[in-house]
Amino acid sequence: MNLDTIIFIVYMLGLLILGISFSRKVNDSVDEYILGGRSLGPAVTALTMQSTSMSGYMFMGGPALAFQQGWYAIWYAIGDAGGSIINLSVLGKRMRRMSELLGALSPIEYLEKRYESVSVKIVASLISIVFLSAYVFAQFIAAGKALENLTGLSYELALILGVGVIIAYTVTGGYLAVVWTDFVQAIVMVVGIAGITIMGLIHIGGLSNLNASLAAIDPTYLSIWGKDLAYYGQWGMVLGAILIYAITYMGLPHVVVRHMSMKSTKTVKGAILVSSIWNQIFIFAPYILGFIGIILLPNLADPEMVIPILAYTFFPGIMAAILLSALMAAIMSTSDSILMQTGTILSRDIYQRLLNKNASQKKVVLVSRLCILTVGIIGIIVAIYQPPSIFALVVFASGVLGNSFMVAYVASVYSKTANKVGVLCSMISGAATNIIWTVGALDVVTGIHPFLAGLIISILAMIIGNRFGTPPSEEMQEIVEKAKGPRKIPKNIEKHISFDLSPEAKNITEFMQGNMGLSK
Amino acid sequence: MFNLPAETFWLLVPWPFIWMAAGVIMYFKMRKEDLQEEQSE
Amino acid sequence: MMEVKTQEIFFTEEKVIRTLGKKEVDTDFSIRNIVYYPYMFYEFSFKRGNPITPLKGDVACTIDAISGIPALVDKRPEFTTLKIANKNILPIQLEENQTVELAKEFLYRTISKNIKVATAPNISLKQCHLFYRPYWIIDGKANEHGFTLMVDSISGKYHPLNVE
Repeated sequence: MNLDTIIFIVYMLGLLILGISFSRKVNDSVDEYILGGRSLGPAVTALTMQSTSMSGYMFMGGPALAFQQGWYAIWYAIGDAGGSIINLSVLGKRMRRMSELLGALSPIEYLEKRYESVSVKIVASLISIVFLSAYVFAQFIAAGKALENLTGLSYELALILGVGVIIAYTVTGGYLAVVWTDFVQAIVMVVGIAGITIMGLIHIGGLSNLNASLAAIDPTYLSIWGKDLAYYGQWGMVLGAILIYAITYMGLPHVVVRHMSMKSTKTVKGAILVSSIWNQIFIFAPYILGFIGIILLPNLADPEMVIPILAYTFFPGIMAAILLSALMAAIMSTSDSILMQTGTILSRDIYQRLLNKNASQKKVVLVSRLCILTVGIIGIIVAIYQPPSIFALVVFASGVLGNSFMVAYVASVYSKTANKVGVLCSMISGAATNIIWTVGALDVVTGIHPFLAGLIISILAMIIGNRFGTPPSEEMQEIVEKAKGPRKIPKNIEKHISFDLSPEAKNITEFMQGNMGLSK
Repeated sequence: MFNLPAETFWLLVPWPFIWMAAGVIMYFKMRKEDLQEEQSE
Repeated sequence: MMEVKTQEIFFTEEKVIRTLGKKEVDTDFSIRNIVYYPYMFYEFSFKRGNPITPLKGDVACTIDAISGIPALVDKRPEFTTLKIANKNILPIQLEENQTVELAKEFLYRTISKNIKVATAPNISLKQCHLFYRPYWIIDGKANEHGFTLMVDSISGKYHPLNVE
């Protein structure tokens, strides 16, 4: 057993002990455990979530693209870093008003209510979970590579071992997933990434020298159009690159956590500041490391290994091994929460609601565990027999999610007549087009990016399909009209609306309209 | 400008600063509002 | 009149107007009325016999007795009993056996998400209460534009109402 393997095992055992001691501590109050780390404060939570959730992509996928394409890769980083801000200001306002009026708490519930159809909900959640699984597959591949590097096992063996550990961890334990241990991961990874970036830049002589050296190898690395100007003039590709991460989040079937707070709450300004600065470091640095790799590692066989190899180059083996162990742990906790969500949706929303209405809780839990196991096995098969690049996989998953949901969301607020048939056609054909385009490599033949193709087809499908459906109810049309116009509420009041009260507001509105005479 | 072509520099480099500025502005705006609220109580 | 369990108001009439008024100086706020919204409060005890990390304790949630939407409770509420006019009480729309099922499902979901158990944990109902949470209905007027808000009288959170 080599030193790295020992470090890895010690690191994991350390986390396990940390996790268990914490869970023993909270033994007396399960609710504290369930409410999940709220005492940590919003800043710590936001920071932890952001750095662990995209860990596999940031460590391996992003740098690989930068290594292959040069500065063009930064387009993806820009969309990623500012996506949430853009999103809030462009689509945000109308959609927020709309979900208030509908009393919807999560994105998928919003679609179900706006289009007045349960089938919309089912199709949307199916698309969501399938492509969320693709994210997990990307994490699996990253886990396999990290373990391969740490243990010296073959990729296949490392992958099976890694996924096995992830599944076992998801299904039986989860002790590591205490927010504190995630926080440890986040710190190790960010300090690690920042450290390697600083060392790399010093070694090369700063950003200017980095660029000069890149230009000496191939001046097109510095262009915004990719190496050899591969995407020259294709603003559609650039737009797609920026938008792809910005849009995807709307397809995530996350359930908004609603707390019935028994005392007054304060605004969470700290989280915004921390995450906006944090983003700029954590999102851009990996791409810069990809550029450094072009110069320092010209003979690198696997572009995804840029960061791990640079880590071993600049730091003593022990620190590099700790960094990779933290990566592995972060992958475990991210995969675990997505897998959990997949299992829950499949078991509760599909199995219990559609297939077996009278299933007992024990049976539902069992089904959810079996689903997780199945996803894991499929993941291993995919990752061994046809290992796509992490970057390609993440872009594919994000693209399909974006193609399925963008038209549905935009039409939900901008069109009064958009109905369920139209939206079903658009979601299904958008997803299908992207899949066919990607699998059949039609972008090479046509010069059109799969995301763009999916977008065009999903818009057409919306327009055509809409003709065959019955128009939305009059009540719904009224709501859409209302969400369009400016609201009469003053700005400062509008900003602090608690959206989690939407269901209550909807019911109180109905109550008051039925009792107007009484309440006056 | 870091030896980057002008096009690349001006199209890519400002973004992190724009996002960061947006975050900082939001922070101070919210802090001001919170302070106002606290004073009033 | 009806005698019901309710929670003590933290944001009193005066306080709620003052808080809103400080946010938006140019707007006049006036209280139209107060409504009582029905929730079911459920407290379950939770037990896991795992020898390495045994867990036991109580978990609580509320179920909105009109739409059935669950929420975790962060602190056990204290209830007081009050006589309230029927016209201020929102009528319950869900049967008790429906809400208890919703509460159980919600807790299983939350527990298996946050604690990750291999099998379904044992939870048993400890107590349940129907209670009414007071919300202020507040009219605002700014530059001839009127609007209406509902304000949670305990947390101070608010949301606009879609009424004229």
